[in-house]
Amino acid sequence: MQKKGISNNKDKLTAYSYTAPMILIVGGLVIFPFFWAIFMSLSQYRVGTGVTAFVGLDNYIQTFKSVMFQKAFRNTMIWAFASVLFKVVLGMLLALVLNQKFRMSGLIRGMVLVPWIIPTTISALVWVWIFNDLGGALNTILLNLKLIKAPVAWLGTGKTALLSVVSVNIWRGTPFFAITLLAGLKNIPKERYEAAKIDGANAFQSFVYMTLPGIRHVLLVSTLLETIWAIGDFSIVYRMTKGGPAGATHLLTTLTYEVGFLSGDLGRAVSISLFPLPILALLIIAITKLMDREV
Amino acid sequence: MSTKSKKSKMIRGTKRLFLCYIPLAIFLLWFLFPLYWMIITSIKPSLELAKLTNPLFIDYPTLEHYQGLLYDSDFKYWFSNSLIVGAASTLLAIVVSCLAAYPIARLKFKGRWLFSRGILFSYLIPRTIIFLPLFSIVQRLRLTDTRLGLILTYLTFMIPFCTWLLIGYFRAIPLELEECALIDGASRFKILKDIIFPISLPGIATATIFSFTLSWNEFLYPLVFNTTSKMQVVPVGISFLITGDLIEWGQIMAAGTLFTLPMIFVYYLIQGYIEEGMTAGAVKG
Repeated sequence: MQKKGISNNKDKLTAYSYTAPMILIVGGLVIFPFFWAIFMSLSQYRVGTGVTAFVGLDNYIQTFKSVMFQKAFRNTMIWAFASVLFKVVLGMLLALVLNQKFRMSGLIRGMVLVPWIIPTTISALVWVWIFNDLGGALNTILLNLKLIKAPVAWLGTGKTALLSVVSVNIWRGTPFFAITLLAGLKNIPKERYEAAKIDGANAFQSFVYMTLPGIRHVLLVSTLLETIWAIGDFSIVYRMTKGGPAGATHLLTTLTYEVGFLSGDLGRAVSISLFPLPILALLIIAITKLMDREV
Repeated sequence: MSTKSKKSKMIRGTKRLFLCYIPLAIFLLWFLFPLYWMIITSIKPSLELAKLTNPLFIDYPTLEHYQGLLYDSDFKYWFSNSLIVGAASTLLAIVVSCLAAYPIARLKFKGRWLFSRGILFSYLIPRTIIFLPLFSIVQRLRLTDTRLGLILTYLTFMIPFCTWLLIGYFRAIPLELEECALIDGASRFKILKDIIFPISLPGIATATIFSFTLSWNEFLYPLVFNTTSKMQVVPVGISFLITGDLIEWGQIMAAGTLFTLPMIFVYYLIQGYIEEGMTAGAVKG
């Protein structure tokens, strides 16, 4: 008994010393900055002067009143909802296609991953060039097919700009869904489908009653993850439009950057980035529950 | 063979065409076109780029953009910075994460639950919330415009990810293996080094590849923390090629190609690990 006690104490020492570097880095450079962000958002805090006063919710109220914030908030909602919806639907379709038997399936799965492998900042630039009104591929193709009469400045006009950046996000994220859902599909026992077929179920019925329940967990977790990532995404929009034209594609993240670094009002900037925190908190709690491993 | 079975074979063939090959072709066209467009632009003479007569193909391929990129721009610095920062931060992240994941997966101690939750939270909280306070910290440590600053800050997203992934791998290893070694008087470090580490090599490989990819792609932190061109990494440095109204698409796409091809090559070699890693977060757990 005594021996066991000693070894437990030794284990405790091991545990704390082994986790110490992780705690130092994550605690100092993630958890601490997170709480500091909340403190910053409640203060008057500008580049150069530092914290000059505690202002309570003033930054949030000012932010909420600003037209640009309302635009960015609306855009973020559209961006997150449309991106995730299309990624799920297209990813599901692609996973079902890939789940069939065909030649060179390994190579094709590799090719499917290309949008995900190309560094996002690079592919975002390639898409800017594709959408370009002077020599861009999209305009050239559409002009040749006689679908448009004159080149369209896809990223230059408010109406099409948001649509264009969302489409790039969908392009980039669909492979992730397809491959994760494919792994889920492979876990469903084949016999179940055969049994359903014998019972006379058609393709749609077996999708709703067999496939969907079988991948429910994977689908849920990846959708929640993808929603969090969409709300926090910065690089696609910043790379493609910097939030323009006239704020038509501004997200909360790109607006945070702009307010923080161009106007230097850090308190305001951080308050913008913290606005989606309640939604994020709910999503994080939900994911934690789903990914729980009895720790 | 009867005509009936021939007919049903034909129907099955048409069905397959519409349910498998045509959708697949559309997806692949959409997915791969930007890659094609990037490469084709990078080897197209400036004259042809300006003429717009033959956008999807090239008459006379050229390496002029690659030459310009390598001799007249800071691309070589950006590329080597990307490599150095990526390699150093990945190596550090793996060491720190292995050490942290082992006790959380195996030992009982106060704070274990909190640590594991903290890791998941740190993995999920968007970088865009913490980058402004983090900028102040980096500034105070006098690490702006250094590679060290990037290495240190990249660890903030690599360590939570790797630790989370490795906890799962470590936990899957049968306890009996360790118990035998413990009875033989092996230390915990020896167990981690000689038993856990070799068995978890596939997991560690996955964590390594993913961490390196995360650093290779990182855009926000270098954009915020580093300003001089020579200290920049490729994702941000490429902006220095966009100056004035006339955008040199040839050179930008050449930079993109040089930065992307190594990644595609690596992924081609180790595809199995990637798919497992991608699904680890969502399927496992």
